[in-house]
Amino acid sequence: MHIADVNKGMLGANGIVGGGGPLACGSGLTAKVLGTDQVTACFYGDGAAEQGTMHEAMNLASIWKLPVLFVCENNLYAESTPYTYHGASKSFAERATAYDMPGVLVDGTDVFAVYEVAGEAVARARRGEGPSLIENRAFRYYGHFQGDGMAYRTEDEVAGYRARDPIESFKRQVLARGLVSQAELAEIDTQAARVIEEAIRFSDESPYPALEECLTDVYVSYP
Amino acid sequence: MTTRTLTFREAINEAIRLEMRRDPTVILMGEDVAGGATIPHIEGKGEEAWGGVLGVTKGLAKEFGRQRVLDTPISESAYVGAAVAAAATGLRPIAELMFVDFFGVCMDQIFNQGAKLRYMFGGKAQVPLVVRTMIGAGFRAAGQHSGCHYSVFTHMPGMKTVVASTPYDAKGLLISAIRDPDPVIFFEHKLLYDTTGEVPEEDYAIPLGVADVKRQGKNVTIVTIGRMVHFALEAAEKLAQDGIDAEVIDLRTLSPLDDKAVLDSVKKTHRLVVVDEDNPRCSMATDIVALVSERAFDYLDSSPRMVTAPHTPVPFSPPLEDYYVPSVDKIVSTVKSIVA
Repeated sequence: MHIADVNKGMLGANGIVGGGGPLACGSGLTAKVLGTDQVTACFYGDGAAEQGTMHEAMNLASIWKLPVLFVCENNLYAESTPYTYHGASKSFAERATAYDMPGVLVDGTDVFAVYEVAGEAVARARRGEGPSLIENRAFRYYGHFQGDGMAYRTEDEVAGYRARDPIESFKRQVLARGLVSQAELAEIDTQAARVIEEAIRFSDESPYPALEECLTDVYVSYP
Repeated sequence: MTTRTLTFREAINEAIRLEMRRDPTVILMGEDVAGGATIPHIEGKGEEAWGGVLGVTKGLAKEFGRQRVLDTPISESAYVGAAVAAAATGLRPIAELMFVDFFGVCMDQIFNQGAKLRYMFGGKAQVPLVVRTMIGAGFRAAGQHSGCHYSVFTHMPGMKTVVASTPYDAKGLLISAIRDPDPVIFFEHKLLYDTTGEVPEEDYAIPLGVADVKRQGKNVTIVTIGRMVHFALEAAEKLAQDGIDAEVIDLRTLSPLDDKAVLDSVKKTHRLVVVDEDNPRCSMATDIVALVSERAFDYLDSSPRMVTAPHTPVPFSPPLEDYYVPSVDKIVSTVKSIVA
C-alpha cells in the first residue's frame, strides 16, 4: 500500500482514505509557485470520494487554479459497499460542477478513452486554467483485502468483468489497428513477468532491516 | 547588533518577513493571513483586510504579493495538507492554523501525513513545514478557541514543537523553525502578542532543543512553558522575599526536549515544580515529572509537583477562566509546600 518515490514525483499511495487530496493541492501549489509545468494527478477511489478532504481539496485546487487532476477510480465498491448506496450523486464526475471544473465520466477500462480525457485535463492544467475531475468507471477482480470472501458480488458479475479486461481489450485494439504485432505484445508480457519475478526474488533474498533502523528517519535532525 | 523594542506580534512578523526575503521558497498560507482576497478596494489596491485575525501577518502580502501570501478557505484539512506536500516537493510553507483547538479538523494531515511521511518513505522525503497556531486561555474566547494542547503534538514522532515566551525568542525560534528540515508546530500564546522586549534587527536563529534558564536559583527548579514563564518569574520574585531561591527554566522547545537542562537543575536544587497551562493528563507536566523521577530520583528531596490547568475544557465565565489558568499565588504556595 505504502509505495512512494518522491524523487520520481510519486508522493505515496496513502493509507488514509481521502488523505491524498490535500497533498495533491500541495504539489500542485509547488508547481505553480516555482513556475514549472508539472501536473499532479491525484488518484482516489469511490470510497475516498465521500471524505470531506476530497471536497475541500477540489474546492481549494479550483479557487487557486492549481495544476491538478482528480482521478476517481470508481471500482464500484468501497470495501463491500456499492457506490450506488454510498454516493448521493449519480456519478462522481458530476460533482465537479460544484467546484467549477470540468468533470468527465469515462470508461476506465478503455486505455485510449482515458488517455484522451487525461490529455485534455493535463493541457488545461498547463494552461493555468486549474484542475479537472475524471471519473474512471471500472471494476476490480479481487476483494478489498486478502481473504475477502466477496459475498457482495455474484460470480456472473465477476465473469462479466473478465470479459472486459482492459489489457486484453487494449491488445485487441492495437492489433486491429496494426500498431503492434502479436510477437511484440508477447515480448512485453514476458518482460513484465520478468520484472515482477526479479522484484519478488530481490525481496525474498534481501535481509530484514537491522533493528537500529527502527529509530532512524523519524527526523532529518533531532538533537 | 542593533536592537529595539518590539512586541511579540512584531517579532513574529519580522521573522517571517526576513525569511521570505531571504528564501523565495518560503510561502505563507492561512485563513485571512492577508484578508479581503479579490475584493477590489482591498486586494485590487494592494491592501490587506486584516493581516491575520490578530494582525500578526500584517504587511506581508503587501511586500511579497498574494502568490506567496495566500488567503485560504476555511478548509484546514485542505491547506494544511497542501502545505505538507508543498514542503515535500520543494517549498518551505508556513501554514497558520488560527487557533490550535481547530486541530480536530485537520489532524490527519498533521499526524498521518506531515509527521509520518519521512519515516514511512524510508527517509527519502523531507517535510520542512511550519504550522503556526495560537494557544492559550484568558482571552474570554471559551472552550473551542482557548486551549494549549501542545502536548498532543509533542506526542507525535516526526513532529517538533516550539513555544516561545518572549519577543526575542519568538523571532529566533521561528527563524529556526522555518529553516528546519522537519515539520514544526510553532505555538503562539495570544496573550503574549502585546508584550514587548528587545529584539535585534538582523536575523538570528535560536537552536531548537535548547532550554533557557531564565533565573538562576538553588532551592527549587521551576520548569515552565510559554506565558507561564512570566508567571513563574513573578512567583520567583515573591519567593525570594521569603528567602526561597527558585531557578526558572523556560523549555522553549518541547520536542526535541532539553532534558539535560532540567536534570542538571534538579540535581542542583533537589526540588521540582512544573508549571504548565495545558491540561494535566498525559501532558508536558507529567512528562517532565516522569523524566526527573526516572533519571534524577535520588537527587530529589521531595516529591515533584505540578501546577497546571484542571482537567476541563477552558470555561467561558470570566471568574472560572481566571481560576482555570495557573496563578502566581498557586505557584508560590506549591513551591512553599515542598521547600521547608
